[in-house]
Amino acid sequence: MPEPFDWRTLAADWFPHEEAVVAILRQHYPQASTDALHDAFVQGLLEGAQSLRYRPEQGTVVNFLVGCARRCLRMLVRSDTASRQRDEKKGRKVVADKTASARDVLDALADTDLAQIARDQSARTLEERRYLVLWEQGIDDPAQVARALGVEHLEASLQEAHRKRTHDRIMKRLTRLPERCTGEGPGP
Amino acid sequence: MTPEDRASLHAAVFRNTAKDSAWIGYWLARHQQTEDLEEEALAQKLGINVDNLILLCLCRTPRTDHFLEDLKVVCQRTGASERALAQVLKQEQVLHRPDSSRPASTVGFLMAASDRPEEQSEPSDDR
Repeated sequence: MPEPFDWRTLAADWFPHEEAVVAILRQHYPQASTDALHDAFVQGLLEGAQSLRYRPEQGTVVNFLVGCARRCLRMLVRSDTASRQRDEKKGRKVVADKTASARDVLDALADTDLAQIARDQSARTLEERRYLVLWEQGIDDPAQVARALGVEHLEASLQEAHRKRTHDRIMKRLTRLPERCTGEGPGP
Repeated sequence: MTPEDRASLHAAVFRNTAKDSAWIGYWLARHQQTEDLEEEALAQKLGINVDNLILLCLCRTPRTDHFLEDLKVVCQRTGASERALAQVLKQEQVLHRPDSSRPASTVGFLMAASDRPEEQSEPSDDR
């Protein structure tokens, strides 16, 4: 920022960056609604302004706000998805128990650069990375998952089998990351 | 920005600042409830438009021990009337105190009947 900021009006001063921040968020989360994007922006803005963590030498205000808003948006999208799943009919398949523990790993790293390292180590192929993006956003629509994995030409049962293998593979790597970090357990 | 996007963004500001008393938006939301005011009427009461009302919601609540100083900074940034905002804040902070004891500050304290028109003999610290 070119001038010394005033902590009392900092969020108001940064508010005009909304358009730039939301545009970037939309690229990373194309499925998110406009309302969710705006909520994430405002929540990130308030948290960022209140924390007083921004340092100009570390990057632009927009990048800082994007980081703050992304964390909020991840929580919002997961919360919305969880809420919808609870309301759905009994015929819908239930998310496996291992999913929660694997998400805990990324959530625990959400505030650090290690989260990206965790993503890189757990999802190695393009299809795995696409699947992980959907999974982090809480999206498990079979059609979208099949497109991400490149198996939309297969019949439904084979698509599901492919999804499950990919899912299990990624989660296995994620849950073993803490072991690798502490030096315990087998290496990659 | 489309009108729908603008409305969505404004709603997000009102909604999220209303959750935390650290932000002026919290007190303005309570004042809207207390006085049954829409955003446009509240903005008019404070002497600003809705866009500046949004900015005002995003400002930090003036500290008790630096009230006038913080109030001045916030009003200079947003164009809000210092007197009107002080009245709103003091009214809502008294109404939402855990006990009924009155604060020592006299800024806006006597204006309990908030729907009365402004009197001419008030201190001229408005913008």
